[in-house]
Amino acid sequence: MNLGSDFDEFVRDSSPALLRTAYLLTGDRGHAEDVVQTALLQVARKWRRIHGEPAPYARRAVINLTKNHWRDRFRRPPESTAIAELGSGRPDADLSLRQVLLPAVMDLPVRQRAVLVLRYFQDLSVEQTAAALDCSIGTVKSQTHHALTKLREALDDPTELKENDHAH
Amino acid sequence: MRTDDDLTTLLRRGLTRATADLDPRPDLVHVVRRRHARARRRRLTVGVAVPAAALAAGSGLALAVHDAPNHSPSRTAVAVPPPSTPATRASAPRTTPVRSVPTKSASYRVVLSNHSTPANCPANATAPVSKSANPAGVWFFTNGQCVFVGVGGAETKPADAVPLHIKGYPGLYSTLENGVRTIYAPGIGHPRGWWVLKMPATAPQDMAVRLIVPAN
Repeated sequence: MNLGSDFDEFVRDSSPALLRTAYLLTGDRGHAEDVVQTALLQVARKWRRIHGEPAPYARRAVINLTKNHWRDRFRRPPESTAIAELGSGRPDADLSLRQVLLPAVMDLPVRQRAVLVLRYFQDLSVEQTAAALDCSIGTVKSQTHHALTKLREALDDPTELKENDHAH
Repeated sequence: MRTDDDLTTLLRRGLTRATADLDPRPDLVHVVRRRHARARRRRLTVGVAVPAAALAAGSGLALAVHDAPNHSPSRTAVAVPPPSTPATRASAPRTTPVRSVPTKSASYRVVLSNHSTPANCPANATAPVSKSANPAGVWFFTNGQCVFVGVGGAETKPADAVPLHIKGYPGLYSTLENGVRTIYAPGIGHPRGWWVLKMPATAPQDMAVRLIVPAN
Protein backbone atom coordinates (compact mmCIF):
# COMPACT_ATOMS: atom_id res chain seq x y z
CA MET A 1 0.00 0.00 0.00
CA ASN A 2 1.42 3.35 -1.01
CA LEU A 3 1.27 6.21 1.42
CA GLY A 4 0.20 9.48 -0.05
CA SER A 5 1.18 12.99 0.84
CA ASP A 6 -1.71 13.10 3.29
CA PHE A 7 0.22 10.67 5.47
CA ASP A 8 3.28 12.91 5.41
CA GLU A 9 1.12 15.82 6.41
CA PHE A 10 -0.41 13.82 9.23
CA VAL A 11 3.03 12.86 10.54
CA ARG A 12 4.24 16.44 10.43
CA ASP A 13 1.13 17.75 12.18
CA SER A 14 0.69 15.11 14.83
CA SER A 15 4.22 14.07 15.70
CA PRO A 16 5.07 16.95 18.08
CA ALA A 17 2.05 16.26 20.30
CA LEU A 18 2.59 12.50 20.08
CA LEU A 19 6.25 12.87 21.00
CA ARG A 20 5.48 15.07 23.97
CA THR A 21 2.78 12.74 25.16
CA ALA A 22 5.09 9.76 24.83
CA TYR A 23 7.79 11.72 26.63
CA LEU A 24 5.52 12.47 29.54
CA LEU A 25 4.41 8.86 29.70
CA THR A 26 7.85 7.25 29.43
CA GLY A 27 10.02 9.94 30.99
CA ASP A 28 12.72 9.31 28.45
CA ARG A 29 13.28 11.08 25.19
CA GLY A 30 14.90 8.16 23.41
CA HIS A 31 12.09 5.79 24.33
CA ALA A 32 9.55 8.43 23.42
CA GLU A 33 11.01 8.78 19.94
CA ASP A 34 11.02 5.01 19.50
CA VAL A 35 7.43 4.82 20.64
CA VAL A 36 6.31 7.56 18.26
CA GLN A 37 8.06 5.98 15.30
CA THR A 38 6.54 2.60 16.05
CA ALA A 39 3.10 4.11 16.54
CA LEU A 40 3.35 5.97 13.24
CA LEU A 41 4.40 2.74 11.55
CA GLN A 42 1.28 1.09 12.89
CA VAL A 43 -0.75 3.98 11.53
CA ALA A 44 1.01 3.69 8.17
CA ARG A 45 0.18 0.02 7.96
CA LYS A 46 -3.51 0.73 8.35
CA TRP A 47 -3.56 4.17 6.79
CA ARG A 48 -6.12 3.40 4.09
CA ARG A 49 -8.33 1.44 6.46
CA ILE A 50 -8.59 4.07 9.16
CA HIS A 51 -11.98 5.69 8.97
CA GLY A 52 -12.23 9.21 10.29
CA GLU A 53 -9.47 10.95 12.15
CA PRO A 54 -6.21 9.03 12.41
CA ALA A 55 -5.03 11.06 15.41
CA PRO A 56 -6.95 9.05 18.04
CA TYR A 57 -5.64 5.85 16.51
CA ALA A 58 -2.08 7.13 16.72
CA ARG A 59 -2.61 8.34 20.27
CA ARG A 60 -3.95 4.98 21.28
CA ALA A 61 -0.95 3.28 19.70
CA VAL A 62 1.39 5.54 21.65
CA ILE A 63 -0.38 4.74 24.90
CA ASN A 64 -0.29 1.00 24.29
CA LEU A 65 3.37 1.11 23.37
CA THR A 66 4.25 3.11 26.47
CA LYS A 67 2.41 0.53 28.53
CA ASN A 68 4.67 -2.09 27.01
CA HIS A 69 7.64 0.11 27.74
CA TRP A 70 6.75 0.34 31.40
CA ARG A 71 5.98 -3.35 31.58
CA ASP A 72 9.42 -4.15 30.18
CA ARG A 73 11.03 -1.61 32.41
CA PHE A 74 9.69 -3.28 35.53
CA ARG A 75 11.34 -6.50 34.41
CA ARG A 76 14.71 -4.88 33.94
CA PRO A 77 17.06 -3.52 36.59
CA PRO A 78 16.12 0.05 37.48
CA GLU A 79 17.57 2.72 35.27
CA SER A 80 18.41 6.21 36.33
CA THR A 81 15.43 8.37 35.58
CA ALA A 82 15.72 10.57 32.57
CA ILE A 83 13.50 13.25 33.98
CA ALA A 84 16.50 15.40 34.85
CA GLU A 85 17.00 16.03 31.17
CA LEU A 86 13.45 17.21 30.69
CA GLY A 87 13.43 20.59 29.04
CA SER A 88 16.74 22.04 28.20
CA GLY A 89 15.77 25.67 27.92
CA ARG A 90 14.77 28.34 30.38
CA PRO A 91 16.58 26.75 33.27
CA ASP A 92 15.91 29.26 36.01
CA ALA A 93 12.20 29.90 35.67
CA ASP A 94 11.18 26.30 35.09
CA LEU A 95 13.68 24.69 37.36
CA SER A 96 11.34 24.15 40.29
CA LEU A 97 8.57 23.12 38.01
CA ARG A 98 10.76 20.49 36.45
CA GLN A 99 12.36 19.39 39.64
CA VAL A 100 9.14 19.09 41.61
CA LEU A 101 6.13 18.72 39.37
CA LEU A 102 7.48 16.36 36.75
CA PRO A 103 9.08 13.86 39.14
CA ALA A 104 5.84 13.90 41.11
CA VAL A 105 3.92 13.11 37.94
CA MET A 106 6.39 10.41 37.01
CA ASP A 107 6.04 8.80 40.40
CA LEU A 108 2.36 8.21 39.80
CA PRO A 109 1.23 4.77 38.68
CA VAL A 110 1.22 4.42 34.91
CA ARG A 111 -2.51 4.59 34.49
CA GLN A 112 -2.95 7.62 36.72
CA ARG A 113 -0.15 9.38 34.91
CA ALA A 114 -1.70 8.55 31.57
CA VAL A 115 -5.02 9.96 32.73
CA LEU A 116 -3.41 13.21 33.82
CA VAL A 117 -1.39 13.56 30.64
CA LEU A 118 -4.36 12.89 28.39
CA ARG A 119 -6.75 15.13 30.29
CA TYR A 120 -4.53 18.05 31.20
CA PHE A 121 -1.84 17.97 28.55
CA GLN A 122 -3.77 16.69 25.56
CA ASP A 123 -6.94 18.39 26.79
CA LEU A 124 -9.10 15.37 26.13
CA SER A 125 -12.52 15.05 27.67
CA VAL A 126 -13.30 12.33 30.15
CA GLU A 127 -15.03 10.37 27.41
CA GLN A 128 -12.12 10.71 24.98
CA THR A 129 -9.69 9.74 27.70
CA ALA A 130 -11.74 6.67 28.51
CA ALA A 131 -11.76 5.72 24.85
CA ALA A 132 -8.03 6.25 24.52
CA LEU A 133 -7.27 4.17 27.58
CA ASP A 134 -9.91 1.58 26.80
CA CYS A 135 -11.57 1.90 30.17
CA SER A 136 -14.81 3.24 31.57
CA ILE A 137 -15.62 6.87 32.26
CA GLY A 138 -15.92 6.06 35.94
CA THR A 139 -12.41 4.65 35.93
CA VAL A 140 -11.07 7.82 34.35
CA LYS A 141 -12.77 9.93 37.00
CA SER A 142 -11.54 7.82 39.88
CA GLN A 143 -8.02 7.62 38.48
CA THR A 144 -8.01 11.39 38.06
CA HIS A 145 -9.12 11.85 41.63
CA HIS A 146 -6.47 9.49 43.00
CA ALA A 147 -3.79 11.06 40.84
CA LEU A 148 -4.60 14.58 41.95
CA THR A 149 -4.66 13.49 45.58
CA LYS A 150 -1.23 11.88 45.27
CA LEU A 151 0.10 14.85 43.38
CA ARG A 152 -1.14 17.21 46.06
CA GLU A 153 0.65 15.19 48.71
CA ALA A 154 3.81 15.03 46.67
CA LEU A 155 3.98 18.74 46.13
CA ASP A 156 4.80 19.37 49.74
CA ASP A 157 6.31 22.76 49.15
CA PRO A 158 3.73 24.40 46.99
CA THR A 159 4.71 27.96 47.85
CA GLU A 160 7.98 27.87 46.05
CA LEU A 161 6.48 26.11 43.09
CA LYS A 162 3.62 28.53 42.88
CA GLU A 163 5.88 31.55 43.14
CA ASN A 164 8.15 30.28 40.40
CA ASP A 165 5.16 29.31 38.39
CA HIS A 166 3.65 32.74 38.65
CA ALA A 167 6.96 34.48 38.19
CA HIS A 168 7.25 32.98 34.77
CA MET B 1 -3.90 23.43 50.40
CA ARG B 2 -4.18 23.38 46.66
CA THR B 3 -7.56 22.83 45.17
CA ASP B 4 -8.12 20.53 42.25
CA ASP B 5 -8.43 23.58 40.02
CA ASP B 6 -5.06 24.87 41.19
CA LEU B 7 -3.51 21.51 40.50
CA THR B 8 -5.02 21.08 37.09
CA THR B 9 -4.02 24.60 36.11
CA LEU B 10 -0.51 23.88 37.30
CA LEU B 11 -0.49 20.62 35.37
CA ARG B 12 -1.68 22.19 32.15
CA ARG B 13 0.88 24.92 32.34
CA GLY B 14 3.67 22.79 33.73
CA LEU B 15 3.42 19.87 31.33
CA THR B 16 3.10 22.17 28.34
CA ARG B 17 6.02 24.29 29.38
CA ALA B 18 8.22 21.34 30.29
CA THR B 19 7.84 19.79 26.86
CA ALA B 20 7.72 22.96 24.81
CA ASP B 21 11.21 22.56 23.46
CA LEU B 22 10.72 18.91 22.56
CA ASP B 23 10.35 18.49 18.83
CA PRO B 24 10.49 15.41 16.66
CA ARG B 25 13.48 14.91 14.40
CA PRO B 26 13.13 16.79 11.14
CA ASP B 27 13.40 13.67 9.01
CA LEU B 28 10.74 11.74 10.90
CA VAL B 29 8.53 11.45 7.82
CA HIS B 30 11.34 9.85 5.84
CA VAL B 31 12.32 7.59 8.72
CA VAL B 32 8.77 6.32 9.09
CA ARG B 33 8.37 5.86 5.35
CA ARG B 34 11.66 3.98 5.12
CA ARG B 35 10.77 1.68 8.02
CA HIS B 36 7.31 1.14 6.58
CA ALA B 37 8.74 0.15 3.19
CA ARG B 38 11.24 -2.19 4.82
CA ALA B 39 8.57 -3.84 6.97
CA ARG B 40 6.35 -4.21 3.94
CA ARG B 41 9.07 -5.94 1.96
CA ARG B 42 9.70 -8.27 4.88
CA ARG B 43 6.02 -9.13 5.15
CA LEU B 44 5.84 -9.87 1.43
CA THR B 45 8.87 -12.13 1.61
CA VAL B 46 7.49 -14.06 4.53
CA GLY B 47 4.12 -14.24 2.84
CA VAL B 48 5.67 -15.99 -0.13
CA ALA B 49 8.22 -18.16 1.62
CA VAL B 50 6.22 -19.47 4.56
CA PRO B 51 3.27 -20.95 2.63
CA ALA B 52 5.64 -22.73 0.29
CA ALA B 53 7.60 -24.19 3.15
CA ALA B 54 4.45 -25.09 5.05
CA LEU B 55 3.02 -26.76 2.00
CA ALA B 56 6.13 -28.82 1.52
CA ALA B 57 6.35 -29.77 5.15
CA GLY B 58 2.70 -30.70 5.20
CA SER B 59 2.84 -32.87 2.16
CA GLY B 60 5.86 -34.90 3.04
CA LEU B 61 7.74 -34.29 -0.18
CA ALA B 62 10.70 -32.05 -0.20
CA LEU B 63 13.49 -32.04 -2.66
CA ALA B 64 16.57 -30.53 -1.12
CA VAL B 65 18.72 -28.67 -3.55
CA HIS B 66 22.47 -29.09 -3.65
CA ASP B 67 25.17 -27.50 -5.75
CA ALA B 68 22.82 -24.74 -6.68
CA PRO B 69 23.86 -21.41 -5.22
CA ASN B 70 20.45 -19.96 -5.74
CA HIS B 71 18.98 -22.31 -3.19
CA SER B 72 19.66 -21.56 0.42
CA PRO B 73 17.62 -22.10 3.55
CA SER B 74 17.33 -18.42 4.25
CA ARG B 75 15.67 -17.22 1.09
CA THR B 76 13.48 -18.32 -1.71
CA ALA B 77 15.07 -19.69 -4.81
CA VAL B 78 15.56 -17.55 -7.86
CA ALA B 79 16.70 -18.37 -11.34
CA VAL B 80 20.39 -17.90 -11.96
CA PRO B 81 22.29 -17.38 -15.19
CA PRO B 82 23.91 -20.45 -16.73
CA PRO B 83 27.46 -21.21 -15.61
CA SER B 84 30.44 -21.08 -17.87
CA THR B 85 31.38 -24.74 -17.33
CA PRO B 86 29.09 -27.74 -17.60
CA ALA B 87 28.48 -30.19 -14.81
CA THR B 88 31.00 -33.02 -14.60
CA ARG B 89 29.23 -35.51 -12.40
CA ALA B 90 29.49 -39.08 -13.62
CA SER B 91 25.79 -39.60 -13.28
CA ALA B 92 24.88 -36.61 -15.40
CA PRO B 93 22.45 -37.48 -18.16
CA ARG B 94 23.86 -37.97 -21.61
CA THR B 95 21.17 -36.48 -23.73
CA THR B 96 21.10 -33.73 -26.23
CA PRO B 97 20.92 -30.48 -24.34
CA VAL B 98 17.96 -28.26 -24.98
CA ARG B 99 19.27 -24.79 -25.55
CA SER B 100 16.21 -22.91 -24.45
CA VAL B 101 16.58 -24.02 -20.85
CA PRO B 102 18.88 -22.53 -18.26
CA THR B 103 21.76 -24.95 -18.27
CA LYS B 104 22.64 -24.49 -14.63
CA SER B 105 23.48 -27.88 -13.20
CA ALA B 106 20.75 -27.77 -10.63
CA SER B 107 20.29 -30.98 -8.77
CA TYR B 108 17.90 -32.09 -6.14
CA ARG B 109 17.79 -34.63 -3.40
CA VAL B 110 14.47 -36.02 -2.31
CA VAL B 111 13.95 -35.63 1.38
CA LEU B 112 11.33 -38.02 2.55
CA SER B 113 10.38 -37.05 6.01
CA ASN B 114 7.96 -38.77 8.35
CA HIS B 115 4.51 -37.92 7.30
CA SER B 116 1.00 -39.08 7.95
CA THR B 117 -1.49 -39.65 5.22
CA PRO B 118 -3.71 -36.63 4.64
CA ALA B 119 -7.15 -37.17 6.08
CA ASN B 120 -9.02 -37.24 2.80
CA CYS B 121 -6.64 -39.44 0.88
CA PRO B 122 -7.60 -42.98 -0.01
CA ALA B 123 -7.82 -45.28 2.93
CA ASN B 124 -5.42 -47.71 1.34
CA ALA B 125 -2.67 -45.11 1.03
CA THR B 126 0.43 -46.39 2.67
CA ALA B 127 1.31 -44.46 5.75
CA PRO B 128 3.62 -42.82 6.28
CA VAL B 129 3.37 -42.26 2.58
CA SER B 130 6.71 -40.62 2.27
CA LYS B 131 8.45 -43.76 3.44
CA SER B 132 6.41 -46.01 1.28
CA ALA B 133 8.24 -48.20 -1.16
CA ASN B 134 5.16 -49.39 -2.97
CA PRO B 135 3.93 -47.16 -4.33
CA ALA B 136 6.89 -44.84 -3.87
CA GLY B 137 5.75 -41.29 -3.63
CA VAL B 138 3.60 -38.93 -1.66
CA TRP B 139 0.06 -37.84 -1.52
CA PHE B 140 -0.97 -34.29 -1.12
CA PHE B 141 -4.34 -32.75 -0.82
CA THR B 142 -5.31 -29.80 -2.98
CA ASN B 143 -8.47 -28.28 -4.40
CA GLY B 144 -10.57 -30.83 -2.64
CA GLN B 145 -8.84 -33.83 -4.09
CA CYS B 146 -5.99 -36.03 -3.16
CA VAL B 147 -3.12 -36.08 -5.62
CA PHE B 148 -0.55 -38.79 -5.74
CA VAL B 149 2.92 -37.94 -6.96
CA GLY B 150 4.99 -40.97 -7.65
CA VAL B 151 8.68 -40.54 -6.98
CA GLY B 152 11.12 -42.63 -8.92
CA GLY B 153 14.34 -42.38 -10.83
CA ALA B 154 15.72 -42.57 -14.35
CA GLU B 155 19.13 -42.67 -15.95
CA THR B 156 18.12 -40.22 -18.56
CA LYS B 157 15.21 -38.14 -19.54
CA PRO B 158 13.35 -38.80 -22.75
CA ALA B 159 14.46 -36.94 -25.82
CA ASP B 160 11.02 -35.46 -26.23
CA ALA B 161 10.95 -34.01 -22.74
CA VAL B 162 10.36 -30.33 -22.87
CA PRO B 163 11.82 -27.83 -20.47
CA LEU B 164 9.57 -26.98 -17.60
CA HIS B 165 9.88 -23.39 -16.59
CA ILE B 166 9.07 -22.83 -12.98
CA LYS B 167 10.69 -19.83 -11.48
CA GLY B 168 13.42 -20.72 -9.06
CA TYR B 169 13.73 -24.32 -10.19
CA PRO B 170 16.06 -24.53 -13.15
CA GLY B 171 16.82 -27.71 -15.02
CA LEU B 172 13.40 -29.32 -14.91
CA TYR B 173 11.85 -31.17 -17.84
CA SER B 174 8.47 -32.70 -18.32
CA THR B 175 6.52 -34.97 -20.58
CA LEU B 176 2.81 -35.47 -20.95
CA GLU B 177 1.59 -38.83 -22.09
CA ASN B 178 -1.73 -40.63 -21.70
CA GLY B 179 -2.90 -38.19 -19.10
CA VAL B 180 0.21 -38.63 -17.00
CA ARG B 181 2.62 -35.79 -16.50
CA THR B 182 6.18 -36.74 -15.72
CA ILE B 183 8.62 -34.23 -14.36
CA TYR B 184 12.34 -34.87 -14.47
CA ALA B 185 14.59 -33.18 -11.94
CA PRO B 186 18.36 -33.71 -12.00
CA GLY B 187 18.96 -35.70 -8.87
CA ILE B 188 21.97 -35.44 -6.71
CA GLY B 189 22.79 -38.70 -5.01
CA HIS B 190 20.30 -40.53 -7.12
CA PRO B 191 21.89 -43.69 -8.49
CA ARG B 192 20.17 -43.27 -11.82
CA GLY B 193 20.73 -39.55 -12.34
CA TRP B 194 17.23 -38.10 -12.46
CA TRP B 195 14.37 -37.92 -10.05
CA VAL B 196 11.11 -38.63 -11.78
CA LEU B 197 7.83 -37.28 -10.46
CA LYS B 198 4.71 -38.74 -12.01
CA MET B 199 1.31 -37.23 -11.47
CA PRO B 200 -2.05 -36.90 -13.25
CA ALA B 201 -2.11 -34.32 -16.00
CA THR B 202 -4.79 -32.44 -14.13
CA ALA B 203 -2.70 -32.16 -10.99
CA PRO B 204 -1.19 -28.75 -10.37
CA GLN B 205 2.38 -29.32 -11.49
CA ASP B 206 3.47 -25.98 -10.06
CA MET B 207 2.30 -27.01 -6.66
CA ALA B 208 4.04 -30.34 -6.93
CA VAL B 209 7.28 -28.69 -7.96
CA ARG B 210 6.95 -25.96 -5.41
CA LEU B 211 7.24 -28.67 -2.87
CA ILE B 212 10.90 -28.48 -3.78
CA VAL B 213 12.21 -26.31 -1.00
CA PRO B 214 15.68 -25.51 0.19
CA ALA B 215 16.56 -27.83 3.02
CA ASN B 216 19.63 -28.71 4.99
